[in-house]
Amino acid sequence: MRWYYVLKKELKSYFISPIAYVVILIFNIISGFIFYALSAYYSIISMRYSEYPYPYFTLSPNEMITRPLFHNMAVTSLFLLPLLTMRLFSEEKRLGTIELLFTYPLKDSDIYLGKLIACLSVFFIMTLIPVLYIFTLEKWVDFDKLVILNSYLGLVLLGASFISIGILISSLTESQLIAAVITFGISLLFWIIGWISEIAGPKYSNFFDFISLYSHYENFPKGILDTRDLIFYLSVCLLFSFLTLRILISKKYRG
Amino acid sequence: MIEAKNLTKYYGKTRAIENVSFFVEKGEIVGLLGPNAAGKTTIMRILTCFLPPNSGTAKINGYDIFENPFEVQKSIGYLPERNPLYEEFTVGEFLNFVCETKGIRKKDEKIKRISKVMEECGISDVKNKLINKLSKGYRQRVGIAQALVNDPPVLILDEPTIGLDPKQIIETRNLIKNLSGKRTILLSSHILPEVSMVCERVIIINEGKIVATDTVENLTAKLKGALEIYLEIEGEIEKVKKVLEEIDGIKSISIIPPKKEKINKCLVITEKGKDLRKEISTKIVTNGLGLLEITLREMTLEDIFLKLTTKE
Repeated sequence: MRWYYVLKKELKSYFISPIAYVVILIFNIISGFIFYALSAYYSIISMRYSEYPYPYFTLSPNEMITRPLFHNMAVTSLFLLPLLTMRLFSEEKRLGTIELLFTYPLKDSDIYLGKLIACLSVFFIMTLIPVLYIFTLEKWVDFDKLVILNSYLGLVLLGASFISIGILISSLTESQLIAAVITFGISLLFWIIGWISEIAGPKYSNFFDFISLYSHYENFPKGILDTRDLIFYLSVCLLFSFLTLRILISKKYRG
Repeated sequence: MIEAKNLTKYYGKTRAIENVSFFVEKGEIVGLLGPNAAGKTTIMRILTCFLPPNSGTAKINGYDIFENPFEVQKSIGYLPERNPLYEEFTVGEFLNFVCETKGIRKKDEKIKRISKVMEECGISDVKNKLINKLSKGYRQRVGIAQALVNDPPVLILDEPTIGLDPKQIIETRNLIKNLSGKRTILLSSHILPEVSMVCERVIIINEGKIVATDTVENLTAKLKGALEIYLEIEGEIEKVKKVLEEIDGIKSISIIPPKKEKINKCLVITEKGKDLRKEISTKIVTNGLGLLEITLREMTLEDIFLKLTTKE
């Protein structure tokens, strides 16, 4: 339970320095704008087709609102999450407070877990608000709740992957700016790496698709829960968490 | 209480410390003295389990730093060099966090410990202030307070008075003195009067090796062998030199040539234990030179330090 105290401290730092508020606000302005645009478009389209019963009943709010909304939230997270992860270790290293943290009776895993969960919680709050927007239309539009839940699960898994990459980079450098830039670069690269699967030839195309963070995300907003995707995201998180813990230990050995 | 055995630490190829062994008894205040980059911080980081040594080991409060780092960290309070603190927290919030990580979880116990330690360090009046708004002296006290908050038997303080003004230095020193008694304290410094004032015993280290370990008095006595005599003599420099060289038992003479008025400032070091003031003064006077000042200088801790840490 010692990680809980690190979590409390990290959350406090997030909300004392306005970084968490700024990121949450910007994320919600963008998502709000996208949500408005999508639902306005949906209402125009459904009005236009209201005289033709066949196309009208095939218009799906899941396809026209939920799916693009979640897709856009994922991209926005890709841009904004490095700003949340960059400070986690870099700042402590630059200010020297890491020496305090590591000489208190805490395990490395307590420190890591506290920081990871703190960042995840901010991400959770940040993405929950746009999901609640959807429910404001509930009276008029028939959303599939399970699809929303599934999409949200996908988004959280994706966010956790971005965060574990970000924490690893943050543990490697003293500069927050460098941490943010590299985290963004790596996340973006793994987001778009699937694009070359078509030109990579039959042998490797599966491989590039498989390691792409994006191609595993696609299924969730469609309402498909594939264990392969689940396992992929969990393994990404575990891999980067493992690497971070190794870095923390080896840093100690090298000084 | 603190037992270091053959500690050696390399940073890449540079040697930080080599074969450092020492022992600190329960209740002692020991000063770790050395020039900058001598390895003081490295030793302290090893003792606090922040860095492991390449070879050798240490025991604190009976716990080994390799086998039981958790217990070691529970029984020490550590003030790192430069005193890093969580700037965006208030003093109260920060101490609350430290209490929780150090295992004081019950609310009433926490409140009791924090208010006690704040009183002890004189920071009760800034409890609700942000740490980055505090003056350096207060910050230092907050740093000491975070080390003390769980009432550890061992305190390790890395340069506790660095960067403070003279008044704050005296305050911090008194604070450290008041903390002694049942606690074992290891503090590092490169300021000698501080160490001689606060500590009972001194470990002098240079270039990663221990060069002397003793009480302040013993160290002074041991190295007192040679005496220094300071002279001011009026006259021609060549003549002064000649006269002084004729006296037996002088090890070395250094003369600062006069700017005007022909006053030579000389520093004479005699051979072991010889007080030659009488011989020198008669010789100078009988040779027709003017003796303006003659003083016997005792070796201070400063001299000992320089002597031990500079190569001949």
